[in-house]
Amino acid sequence: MATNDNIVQSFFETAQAEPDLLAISAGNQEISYGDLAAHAGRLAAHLQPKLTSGRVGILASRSIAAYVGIVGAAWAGATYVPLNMKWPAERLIQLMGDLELDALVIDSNGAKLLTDEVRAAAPSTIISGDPIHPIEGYVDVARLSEPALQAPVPRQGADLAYIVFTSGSTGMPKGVMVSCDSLARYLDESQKWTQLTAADRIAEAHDVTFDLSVHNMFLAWRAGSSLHLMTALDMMAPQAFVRKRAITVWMSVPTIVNNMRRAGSLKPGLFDTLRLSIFCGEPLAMPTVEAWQEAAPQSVIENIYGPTECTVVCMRQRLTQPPLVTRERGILSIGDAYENFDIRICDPSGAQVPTNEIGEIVLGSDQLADGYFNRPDLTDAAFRMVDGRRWYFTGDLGYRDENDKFHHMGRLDNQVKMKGNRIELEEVETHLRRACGTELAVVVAWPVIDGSAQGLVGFSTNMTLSEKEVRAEMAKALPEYMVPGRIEFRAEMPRNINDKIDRKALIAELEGNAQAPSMVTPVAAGQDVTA
Amino acid sequence: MSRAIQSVIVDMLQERDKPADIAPNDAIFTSGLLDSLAATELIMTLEGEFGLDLADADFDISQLDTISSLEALVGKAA
Repeated sequence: MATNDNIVQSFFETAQAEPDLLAISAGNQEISYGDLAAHAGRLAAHLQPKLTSGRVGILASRSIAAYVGIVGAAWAGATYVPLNMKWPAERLIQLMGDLELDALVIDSNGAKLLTDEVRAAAPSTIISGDPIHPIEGYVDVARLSEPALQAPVPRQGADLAYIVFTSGSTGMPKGVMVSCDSLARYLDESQKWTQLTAADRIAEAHDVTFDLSVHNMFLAWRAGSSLHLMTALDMMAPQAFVRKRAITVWMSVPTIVNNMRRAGSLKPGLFDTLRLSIFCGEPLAMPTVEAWQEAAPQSVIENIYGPTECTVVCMRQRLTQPPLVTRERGILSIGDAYENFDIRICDPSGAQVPTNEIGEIVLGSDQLADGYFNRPDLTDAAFRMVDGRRWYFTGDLGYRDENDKFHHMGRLDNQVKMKGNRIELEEVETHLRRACGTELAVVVAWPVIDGSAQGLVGFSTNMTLSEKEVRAEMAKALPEYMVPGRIEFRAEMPRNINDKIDRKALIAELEGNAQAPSMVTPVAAGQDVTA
Repeated sequence: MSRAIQSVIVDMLQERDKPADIAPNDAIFTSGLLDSLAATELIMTLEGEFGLDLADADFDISQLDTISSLEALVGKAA
């Protein structure tokens, strides 16, 4: 019998074998594998005849509705496309147009974003995925009349599983397309070290627009584990959430740990139920990871690395005694490559550099993404054929040490990580220039603490505008967390030797001002901790 | 003297040009009405004006999400 490469086939099998297991818990709402499968099967029956582009948008997150939407879309044989709830109307309209979605699944927060103008750009089929609370004005999944599709629609490995958006230097985000095959390979490799079982209770700290959610849900569904969805509020002080729910597996950006340390809430022995803690998305500073180990003494701790373009993750390093530290940065190393990856460290010509020399991290694997949605130009620039094999050029800097362990050393370009969110500074600059009506405008990430940007500062030469006006204009096109918390105006910009605007000089200026005793460290505005 | 917790929330909504006619059980943060920066500000107010210790191991931050749960939280501390 041919196997079905549908990404929810293993969810389906788990639901058949153990329908009463808890699948998802969100606040005081819970849903079992069996019930989630029943809703997804009904949603799939409704969606399947409507599939033309084969893409279904998910305008929902941190809710059972979001997962009903994802499982239902996949069950129908569609590619699921999470839309970021923080995108302003202009961006939602443009991307929904580009994506030619066949349908949209929403939750109650998603419904609030569907103003008349946004709804005009949305597909005509909009379903509320919330099985319990109907949303006025929308058909909900519990009231669909079609008989459920009894099993997920067969799919091929090369079919697209999902499209996840990440910041793009062109001013618009780019959609990373991942195939069913790439996802399956990722899960096979990740299962080896996460070893989830039906007894595991996983804290889901991420929005479904972030591909770490892919890791959690699909590994959980293979094993029959439960997902416990955290709200943005829970993320600010997660201790009670983890303790009350006896969470066994944690994954987050290190920023959350650092926030807890600052608040004084990360106490020794706090998390005695955790058996596995995973950190990702940002450099993992040694004091951070050591404090977590004290708080979660029974837990194994893993640091993982991977751009969305390699399908979630491709390297990892366990916290050992003594730890394997990237000494230059005081962070845990990124360790070893997944077995299905070849890693090269290359110079700008693409030639490999010797051991212990820094170069660009280049990834070769059958787990790589297909490329960027509707952007063959960007795809060809980042995914290149070398020596008869397809490689992804990450833009990350790193080196391989004498023991074949890898170390991350920052970025080649102006991509920054802000609380785990990938941001191309050029994307923000495009909108700063537009808002200011001048080409002489740049954005820097500042301050940077433990390798994580805490905020963005914009610089503009248009002295006739106010900070408030510029921010308001930018917020029409960018999610709030990408709008600089502070805009500075300068008659002239410092220039570097190539006559380009000198970002380093601007950062040095900010550092100098912050060290002056009269200045208070600015609180970075316009961000969200939800990463 | 501390303000009533309801007026703290109403002030925060008004400062941000948001509708201030909020019902006791309406979600404030998980609905997206106020963002995480506002939550940080509220945490500081609760600690500074209301004397709550939010670093406590069993402090449940989800209690910040509605006026009625906030009232229960503040009442318990008093």
